[in-house]
Amino acid sequence: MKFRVSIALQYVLMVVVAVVMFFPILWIILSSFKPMIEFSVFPPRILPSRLYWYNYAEVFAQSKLLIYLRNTLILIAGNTIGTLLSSSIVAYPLARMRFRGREFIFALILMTMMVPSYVTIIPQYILFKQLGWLDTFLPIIVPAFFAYPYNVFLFRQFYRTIPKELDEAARIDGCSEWGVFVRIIAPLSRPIFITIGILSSIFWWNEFFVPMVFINSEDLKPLSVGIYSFSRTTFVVRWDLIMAMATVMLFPPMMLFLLARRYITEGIKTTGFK
Amino acid sequence: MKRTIVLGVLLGVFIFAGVYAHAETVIKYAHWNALPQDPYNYVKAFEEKNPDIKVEFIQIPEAEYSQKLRSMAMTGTAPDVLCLWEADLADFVRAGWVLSLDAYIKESKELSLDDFIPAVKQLMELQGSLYGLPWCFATEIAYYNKDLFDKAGVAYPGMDWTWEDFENMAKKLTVESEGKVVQWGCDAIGFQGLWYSLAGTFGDAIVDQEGRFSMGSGTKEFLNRWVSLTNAKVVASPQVTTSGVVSADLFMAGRAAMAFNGSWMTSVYKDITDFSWDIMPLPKAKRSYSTLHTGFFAINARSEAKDAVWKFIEFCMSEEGQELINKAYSNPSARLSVLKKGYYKVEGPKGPRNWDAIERTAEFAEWGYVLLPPGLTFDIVKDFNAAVLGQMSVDDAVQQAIEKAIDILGEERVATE
Amino acid sequence: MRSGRAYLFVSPWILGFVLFTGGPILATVALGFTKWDLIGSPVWVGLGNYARLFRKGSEFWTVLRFTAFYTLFSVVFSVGWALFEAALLNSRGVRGTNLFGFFYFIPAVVPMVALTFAFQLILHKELGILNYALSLLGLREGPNWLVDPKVVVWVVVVLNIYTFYAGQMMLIFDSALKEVPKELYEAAEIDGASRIVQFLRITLPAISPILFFNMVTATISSLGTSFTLLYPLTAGGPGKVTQAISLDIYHNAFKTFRVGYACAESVILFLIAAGVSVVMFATSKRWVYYEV
Repeated sequence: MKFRVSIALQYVLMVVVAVVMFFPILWIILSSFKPMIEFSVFPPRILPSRLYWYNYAEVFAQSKLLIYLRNTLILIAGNTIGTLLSSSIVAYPLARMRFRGREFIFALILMTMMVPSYVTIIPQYILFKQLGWLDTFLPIIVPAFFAYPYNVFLFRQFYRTIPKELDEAARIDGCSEWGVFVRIIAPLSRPIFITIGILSSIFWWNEFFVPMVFINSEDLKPLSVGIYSFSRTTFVVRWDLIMAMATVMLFPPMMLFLLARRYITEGIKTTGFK
Repeated sequence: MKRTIVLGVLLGVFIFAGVYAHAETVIKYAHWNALPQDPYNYVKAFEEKNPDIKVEFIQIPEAEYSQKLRSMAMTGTAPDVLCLWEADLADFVRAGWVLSLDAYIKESKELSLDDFIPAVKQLMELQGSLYGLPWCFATEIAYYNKDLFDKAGVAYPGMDWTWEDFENMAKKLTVESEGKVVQWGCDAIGFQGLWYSLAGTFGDAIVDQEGRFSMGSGTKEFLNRWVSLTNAKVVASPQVTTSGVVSADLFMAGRAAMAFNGSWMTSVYKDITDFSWDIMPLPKAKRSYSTLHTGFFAINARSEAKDAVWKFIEFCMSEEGQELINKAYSNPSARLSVLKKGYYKVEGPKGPRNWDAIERTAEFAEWGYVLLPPGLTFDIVKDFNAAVLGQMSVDDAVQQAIEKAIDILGEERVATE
Repeated sequence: MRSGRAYLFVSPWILGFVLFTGGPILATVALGFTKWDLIGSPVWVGLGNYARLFRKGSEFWTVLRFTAFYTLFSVVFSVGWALFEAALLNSRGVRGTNLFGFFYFIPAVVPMVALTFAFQLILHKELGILNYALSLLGLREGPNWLVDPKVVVWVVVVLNIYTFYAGQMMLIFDSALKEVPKELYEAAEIDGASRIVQFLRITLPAISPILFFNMVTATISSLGTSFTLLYPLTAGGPGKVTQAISLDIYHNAFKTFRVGYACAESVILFLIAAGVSVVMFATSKRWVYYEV
């Protein structure tokens, strides 16, 4: 009997937590069907008075939603390809080779993980201005090809779980380091490639600060910045349109998570922390 | 590997597709508002009339507007047509980023300097030459819920109402039930400009004739009164404001009998169906005061298509262009001849009716705080809010405002009492 | 020879470090000694900016205090909550964990900008659904969540449970908990240890490296993403109550155009980050294997 009670209690807790986590999202979706006037009513209502599709029509008609979407996809593709290529390569010798200064390099990588982007944004802005890169995707995508410390760290952790005998055997057969990486380590690391790929995609779907600083043109804005700028008309916050656009933004990452959940958990599990 | 190459090529195509094409003259135009929908899309109307010119529109969120334009101008990537805020116009002139429009306007058949509201000419005089034309204007006014006034048996405010009238009405219109306020006499300040406009009605110059920051005893008096009204729960407690705008609106919800806000709120409130409402000028304390808002069309000095840019500006300022803009945003034209036509008067079923309130306000309203850097004025408002919340004293908040102004503007641009 | 080869592999990162991190940091340090409004050219002012930052009564003290508070408690709340969620999902004898896991993770993939907009309305004092719900439960006057200085600082740290990194940590905890050998619990069960004792004695020690790793992630992320959460939500107000250093840098550099002053602040932020990373690094033996 005592057992039953504790199970019931656990279910109650699980439901409460689910409500806490999911309510804001549900609220956004329901609100996307409200006309502007229903955002200021008392008592507050969760449900719209009727399904008001006009918000969606207006969002699609007025904003460059499809262009924002294209831009977001370009940023995701560029950054994900960039970081997967570079981080996987950089991590290789840190996990698999002995060389002078390895500890130092690794320590430096761990330390740069800590540096927030706000510290470097002003000089970066000046640098990209000199290069004529402002208001292009380049300042956002190019750095990804130079490896993100956090991803390097994750790759390194994963490589460590691959049995060493495999690459030693290959080296004896005359394989170069590059050969070992391409033929043995990379193919065996599929799960971590997929995991980082997905995490990076979700991250860039949401990223706000960096594109906000570097992108100006309407035709180059990603969704996150697009929603922010579209939402304001002459000092009035257009809640109705924000919520419709937010709802449109919700579904792709939700779908991705549903479809790829197995890979995400798999990848994280085999990342092999200590 | 193949797939990666295909992806890479696709990526390249996407990027370049956005960059190339277009053989006709292309001018870039930036604004903080999204373009209105048909039939009010003035950019589209211009393109239809001038098929050889294509206008590429850039929307910059209003919270980042000033800073983005500045950084674009610095890097030589600013749009050809600028719509500059009051505070930025002076800096852009100083930096040589915008052209003088004197020659253009002299030759224009459509436009004449005498046709603009007085405040526009004042600003031109301050800068020595004409650098920008106001795309339309807005001001700050009072809103009131007629139904709630009727219910409480309180007479509506008149065009010449005073601050004492306001306080008395607000107190009478506050309704408590079981120890909890269910109806406020007045909503909290919903737009940051009102802090400055109301302080201005208490006699502070806000920005004096030499363009100096000038806030002091009037601001203190206003804040003290506002704090006691808030503590007495006659005025609703402050709300979170990001970029100067509140999230939810007690006036719109029918829970506050009065509110102070920008005249642009008429375009939102016009959809109200639950109660009748109307507008009034701000109540007079020591004097009548309000703030004017606009943006100035200006020509980027580095533009390679200056004549096309002027054509666009001239169209926007023409009666045809002004009609579209006024109707789209419910903002009046700064051209007196167009203002009289009243294109901006977009009425809803329940209000507004008293359009005189806006035209009367335009007579005494000044540029005021909008001539100061937005970063400064926004920061000061956060302190005023802190004072209303009892976090710091009113005297400290005003003192800190003056110090911040000195910090950012320099001592020579701050008037001391 | 092998060293050379190894450095060839690492070279992209080294190049990137010089171009996008190391170089800019040096430039920040240099600009920190100047006065510059982005229009003219920078003017050398020596330590003037630092003197301003740390003068008596400077608002920067409030900013620093809040930044420390925000970082510390964001880590506490997000790590604690992620662990709590993962523990719920791994409790014995419950079903439907897949479905619940979906609900727990999903806020992480929702753009924070959209969520902050929603919270402004949900948490509104008079018209928000939360205070309305509380009033139905008998609370006469709900708090002014996002405005009352004593309340808002807690609200913003608690909202970190909806961030991307909190969701990611939940998944990491989830898989870590699945790795804890079941036999340990069975043995404890026989000994009559309660659930809580089991959690403290068995679960926590078993996942401690992961816990540590997540705390590092959370520290990096709460420092690094404070802008995305705070700027659209409170913009640092009221006063400077929720002005994290990231917002202050943005405000000074891009809104009031005091670039030198903002760079001096960036240097302080860098020193803080460096300090934290030294601590992390000193303790890293607990969450990273160094041997190859």
